[in-house]
Amino acid sequence: MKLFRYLSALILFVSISGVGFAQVKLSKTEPASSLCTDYHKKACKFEKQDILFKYNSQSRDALFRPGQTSKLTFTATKGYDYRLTFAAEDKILQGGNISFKIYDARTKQPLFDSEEEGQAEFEFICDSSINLTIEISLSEASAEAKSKVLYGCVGFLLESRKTLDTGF
Amino acid sequence: MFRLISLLLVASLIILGGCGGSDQDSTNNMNDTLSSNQEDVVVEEFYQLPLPGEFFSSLRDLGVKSKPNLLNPTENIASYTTSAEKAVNFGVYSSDLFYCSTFNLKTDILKYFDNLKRLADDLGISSVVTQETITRIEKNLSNKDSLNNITTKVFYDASAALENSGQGSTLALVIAGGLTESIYLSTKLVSDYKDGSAAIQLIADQKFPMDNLFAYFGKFPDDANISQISGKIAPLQTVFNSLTETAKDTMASKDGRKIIGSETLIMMNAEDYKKIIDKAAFVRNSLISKSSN
Repeated sequence: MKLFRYLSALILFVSISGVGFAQVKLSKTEPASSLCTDYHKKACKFEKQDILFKYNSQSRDALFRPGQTSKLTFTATKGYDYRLTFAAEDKILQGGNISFKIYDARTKQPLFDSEEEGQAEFEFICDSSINLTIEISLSEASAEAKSKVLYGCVGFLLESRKTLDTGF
Repeated sequence: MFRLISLLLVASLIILGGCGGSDQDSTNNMNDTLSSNQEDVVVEEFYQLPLPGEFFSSLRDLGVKSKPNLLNPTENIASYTTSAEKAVNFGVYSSDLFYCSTFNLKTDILKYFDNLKRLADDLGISSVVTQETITRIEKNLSNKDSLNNITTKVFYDASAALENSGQGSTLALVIAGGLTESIYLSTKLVSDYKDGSAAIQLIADQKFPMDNLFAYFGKFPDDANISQISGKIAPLQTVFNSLTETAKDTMASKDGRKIIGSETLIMMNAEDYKKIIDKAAFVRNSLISKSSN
């Protein structure tokens, strides 16, 4: 009987400790976005050299699963140039890539598809203000990869500048 | 029996050990705790709005000049007692600071930052305006770029802190206050209507962030504060939605870069602009005055 009590107390202690430990790391209600804060600032790099582009505050990060699709809508203002860069942690890409489509948020008219254009980044001139929706998708991981990795960070870096008048 | 106890102990230690370890990267350890709750984590649809500072910079670059006595008085903070009032006016005062730093107005900057600090403390995000922040401001009072950077960082950190602490609806209220104040200030700066004015067009184009704000509000259908504040701002959105639009020609590309824009241009005549001015003032005053909620 004494031994049974000891065993019960031990199991109870271990159970309580285990739950508490896990909750410190990530409670069920903790927003997923907090796990990727500022990932885009570290990971996104636009390949082409250019001048005057500045960080745009509409950039952001998100937590993704392999194969997941998510949408982000931002405002592009007339008279500005924009460039968009994406990055994802290797462990969720598993050799695949990030693909993205851009469309007019209001009319749903498609404006750019990274897979059709074969580009991993995108730049454009905005000639009249518009809300743009970006649909970001990650490649589906293999069954083996899926069993190892569930989540990782995806970053979206938006940079902008006043449209340049070129030439003499 | 002792074997059973030992086995249980070893099994428990293995389970606990699996939860430990140092963080290798931002998400390495999430797999341990999320694996059994995969369906609980939902990556949602996001709505982003430009910062008020970006809007003011565009106006300044178009030649718009600042005017005095437009800001929400700092002493009004005493009347903000509810969490919704504090969140909305955190956005309003942030927008006022962006205005000051963009147009290089030094008046009362420290008082406005102090208000942000007090509101941030009350909203549970005190880390976004520290004593170190105030010291940096004191040292950079004559440097508008530094002040703009500090204001941007405070606003950005506040947004991240609210979102990361599960206060997305509070963040929506902050953004609502910031957008309303920036539209109000712009209408005061550009008080006269001129046909074809780029500044007037920029103000008309605030319809786009307004649309995003209301889409963001839509993520909190059961939140009483969101319902109340969206109801207060709705008259301004209604005026923006009533503006006519006209089809425009668009070039496909320039300098090898794609040109993207709305298929239509928002048109605003003098009568429309008068409505925007009136509604912006009405809505803004309802947000900053006592008993606003």
